[in-house]
Amino acid sequence: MRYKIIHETEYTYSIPVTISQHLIHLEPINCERQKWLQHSIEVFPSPAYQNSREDIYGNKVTAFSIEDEHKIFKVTARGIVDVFDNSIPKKNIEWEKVKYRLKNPKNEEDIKASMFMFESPLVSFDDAIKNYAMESFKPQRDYIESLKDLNHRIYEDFKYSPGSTKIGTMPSEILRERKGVCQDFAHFMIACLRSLGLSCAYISGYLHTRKKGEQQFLGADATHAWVSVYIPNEGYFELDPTNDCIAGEEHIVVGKGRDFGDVSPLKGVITGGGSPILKVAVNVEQTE
Amino acid sequence: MKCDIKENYKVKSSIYDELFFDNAIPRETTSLILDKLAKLGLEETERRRKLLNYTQYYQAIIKSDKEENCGLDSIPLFLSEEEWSKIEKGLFQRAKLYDLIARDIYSEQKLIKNHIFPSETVFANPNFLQMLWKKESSTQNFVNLMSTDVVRDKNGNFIAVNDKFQIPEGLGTALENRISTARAYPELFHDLSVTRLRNFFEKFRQTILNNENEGKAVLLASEPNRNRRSEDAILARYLKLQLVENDDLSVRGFKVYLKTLTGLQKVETILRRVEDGMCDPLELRIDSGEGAVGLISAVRNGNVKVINALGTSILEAPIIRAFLQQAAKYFLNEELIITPVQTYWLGYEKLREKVLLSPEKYMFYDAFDKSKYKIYKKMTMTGQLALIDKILKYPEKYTAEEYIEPSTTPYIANEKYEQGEAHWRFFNSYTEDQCFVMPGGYGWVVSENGKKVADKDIWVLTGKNIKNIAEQNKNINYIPLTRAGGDLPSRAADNLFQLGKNLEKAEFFTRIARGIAKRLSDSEFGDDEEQVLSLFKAWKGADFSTEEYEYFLWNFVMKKSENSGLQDVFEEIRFLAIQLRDRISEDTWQFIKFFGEKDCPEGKGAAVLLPYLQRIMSDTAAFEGLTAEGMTRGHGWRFLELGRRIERGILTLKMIKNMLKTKTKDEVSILSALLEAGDGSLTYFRRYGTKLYTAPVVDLILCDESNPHSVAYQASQIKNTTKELPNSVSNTFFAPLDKEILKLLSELRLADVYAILKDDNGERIDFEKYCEKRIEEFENIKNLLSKEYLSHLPQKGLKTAMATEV
Repeated sequence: MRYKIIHETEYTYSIPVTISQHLIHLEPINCERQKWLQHSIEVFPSPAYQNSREDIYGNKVTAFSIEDEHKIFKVTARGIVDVFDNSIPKKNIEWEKVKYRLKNPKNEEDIKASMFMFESPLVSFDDAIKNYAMESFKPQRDYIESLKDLNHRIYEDFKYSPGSTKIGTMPSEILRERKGVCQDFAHFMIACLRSLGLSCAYISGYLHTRKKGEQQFLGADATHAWVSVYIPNEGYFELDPTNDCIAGEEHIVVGKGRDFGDVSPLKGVITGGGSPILKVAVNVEQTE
Repeated sequence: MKCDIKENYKVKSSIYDELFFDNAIPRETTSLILDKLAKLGLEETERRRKLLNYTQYYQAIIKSDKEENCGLDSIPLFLSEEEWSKIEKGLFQRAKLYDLIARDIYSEQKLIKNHIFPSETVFANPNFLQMLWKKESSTQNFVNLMSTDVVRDKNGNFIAVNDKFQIPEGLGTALENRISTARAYPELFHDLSVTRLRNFFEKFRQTILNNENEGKAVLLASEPNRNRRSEDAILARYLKLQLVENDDLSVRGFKVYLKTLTGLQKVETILRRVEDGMCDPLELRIDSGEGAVGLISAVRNGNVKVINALGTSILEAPIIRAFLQQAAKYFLNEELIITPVQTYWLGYEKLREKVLLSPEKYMFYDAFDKSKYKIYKKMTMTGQLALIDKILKYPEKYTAEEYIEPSTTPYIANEKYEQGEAHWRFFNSYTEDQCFVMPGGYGWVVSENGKKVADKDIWVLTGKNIKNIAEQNKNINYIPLTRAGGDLPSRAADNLFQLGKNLEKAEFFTRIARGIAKRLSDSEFGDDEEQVLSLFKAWKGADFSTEEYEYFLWNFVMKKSENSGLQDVFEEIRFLAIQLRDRISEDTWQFIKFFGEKDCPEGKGAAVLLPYLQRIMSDTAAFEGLTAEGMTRGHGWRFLELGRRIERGILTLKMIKNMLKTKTKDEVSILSALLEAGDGSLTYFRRYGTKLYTAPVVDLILCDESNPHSVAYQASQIKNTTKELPNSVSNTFFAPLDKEILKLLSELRLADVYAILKDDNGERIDFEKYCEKRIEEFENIKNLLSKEYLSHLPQKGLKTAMATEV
């Protein structure tokens, strides 16, 4: 599937900003099931300085500063991408075996996956979360089956409720309140899996939703978040607990990290600004 | 204290004592020292002991916020040459090893790939800062300055228990302690050939901060309210670094600049005294708002050197200690020279089982947070059970360290020799395969109940002294002379301005309060209620219901958060004093840090306030004297001066306006109050005799430039002072600031006092307007100054964290 994507973020400030520094994770990564044909980022006003680097998770991070006084700040990311379906692992494997393998890594891929095995700034877990997870991960149950079950339960048990949480709401609170947005569900699912000693990453990206005649996905025309689970010898397997599905052709990956904090699309520290008005517009259009 | 240590100090047989053998016979070095002390005689020893803490510049800086101040003990800790050389080698090895570990963690991660470290050491470690991974400037050392804590076990062997990299606390205190002991026991230093510390600091300065041609090095200080801040100031002073705060730094174009009066100045090296997490809000803790925004980008681009490198907090995690020996084998193929404390990471099942068989031997750490630990055998039974429970649930979050009963040493408390645990901290600086270890260190004593009770100096008795650096430097024959002072940070200029302002306020209001207190408490003044009333007017500009004078006065002087009360002014002064620690001379600092806290009145009534107010008056006078005599006439002094002058001008104008705007029948009491508040009585009586007339009093207080308390004098001083400020505009045309000052000064010089004092039905409308205009001009000058010189300060706007929500 080929998509044309436009992602526009605009801040309008009530008082001028004299200097601002930003960090963006907007340049998408290539992975097995996806290939970017072109991509560009445009910043207004144009940055005085900018610098890109690749982080430890493989994302491209760009830091820039705007040193002219400004009242409007706009970042536009454009791209064309080919996306394929997630290949579902064929072999059955008990989840405890995955856990054992991660504890006793065999190859470099296993070690790499251990970056996503532990608590991180926005994902911590406790007994309650672990108990919730155990319901799906019964002894000797097949890994994929357990994952799909957990994915489904989160979809059933939690209410999609924009505005009920904020960035940085911790998984234990999400479990208590049983509501949130895609970011929260992704964080919660990650917490569940890591509490069992499994490895999974946070994925930020876009979701294509506007196919004719099909069910309208939640989080339409916005950035989206889901999880990517490591399966030894197989690679990564992506699940979307917000929509109770396996992430596939409709899910376009931008960044991968331990949690939202590692791949936050746009952050910045500004001097001045007053109370800004934020406008985000995402357009994902299927071209082929 | 008049007792002999040999008779009064009992050694426990199971533990090593620093001074005595089991059978209470002094160790070799001990007898040397005890003999020397004995020669001094008991009384002299006692006198020296008192001298020890008297000379302390600032006592016990390392105390955590909860700890009490504890003084420096008179008996130091000793190291023989042999012991020292082992420690020196051991510390060199540790610095090298830790540097290699940090480099690996932030680049190839071979330690993990080769299974030397389990992945938890890095990936479960919240101190691992992924944003610093593979920074371009990785050729620079991660470790430049570190401290190592050591205790001695029962066999007398040194065991390393803790290493610090972010902020090796105690370095400044060690220096202070050494200055004190060297002053108190000069002959001991000489006779025992105690190695001096000075070379260490010089070497550190020359090799690490090595910047004479390359640019500026600064010391980034802790927040002003931290206890550590005083130590920061000591270090900055000794290392000759400018002390700066987060807000003084600005990152532009991935380079770090210091905001100064004359503009931005590039910074090359930062000796930081803040934790990793507080260094850059953009990438680290956006919620905290702490740090220099963009510092990480500057570091990544290799444009600034931070000491120690950002990210070194990971080395302090207890889990690293569990694999230190393995890392030494891997990188250096060496055993650790200083025996490390036995540490086990409990994520390994077999080790966990072994540890939990006899947990009483261990102390348990949070594997990633060295500040969270429990000594098992000192816990309650329920505490122990709860801990074991947690460990079994999340074993990988814990490490166990063998608990070592530290050696003992005597210390003096309550005029007795007590026994406490001896703790040692050593410091070393490391660069490109060179290591300089400070020949001495920071020692401290912990009492039986676990409290820190005394500091100890550490003496290394090597019997030889390295030549002074000062002597080695004799051949430097050319140093460019400079009298510049343009690199004053804008924040410091602003703080000095505020300090001047607040000191003036304190003086002004104290003088009035003293006048009132005098009259209320002294029957000789009779019931000159009118005078009291006038003074109240001078201060508040409003009348009071009678009978409540004392109540109002007391509240004004003593009550906090009256907003305009004296105590608030004093508190502000003390706060500014802390922030300006490195810019105020030692003498000035000594009393200003306790400004308004000494001789606090007890009881009730106006009379008890008098001595207190008198004290404030003499303190402000002393401050004025000290700054007038002791402060270089640089920009710092100028801003202090401007703060004072502007504030005095405004306060005086407000006072005479309030007191004279309405004409009363007999103005004598008002005039006498005015003269008192304006400190002009002497001059007036000399010039005009004893009778009081309005116009001459107003002339004296308003327009007489020879009276240092007059408004006109303030204006002319402002004119003289601003002339010397940087970028002061040339003679050809007048900048807005110059214009405003000139206008104010001319108005005061040209004032026709009789004319403006004319009244209309008892209302002096012209006079009121005249005063208001002048106040406005003073305010304008203040604003123009801050716009011109302090605009580099961060605007009080939001530093906002932005992120798009899903």
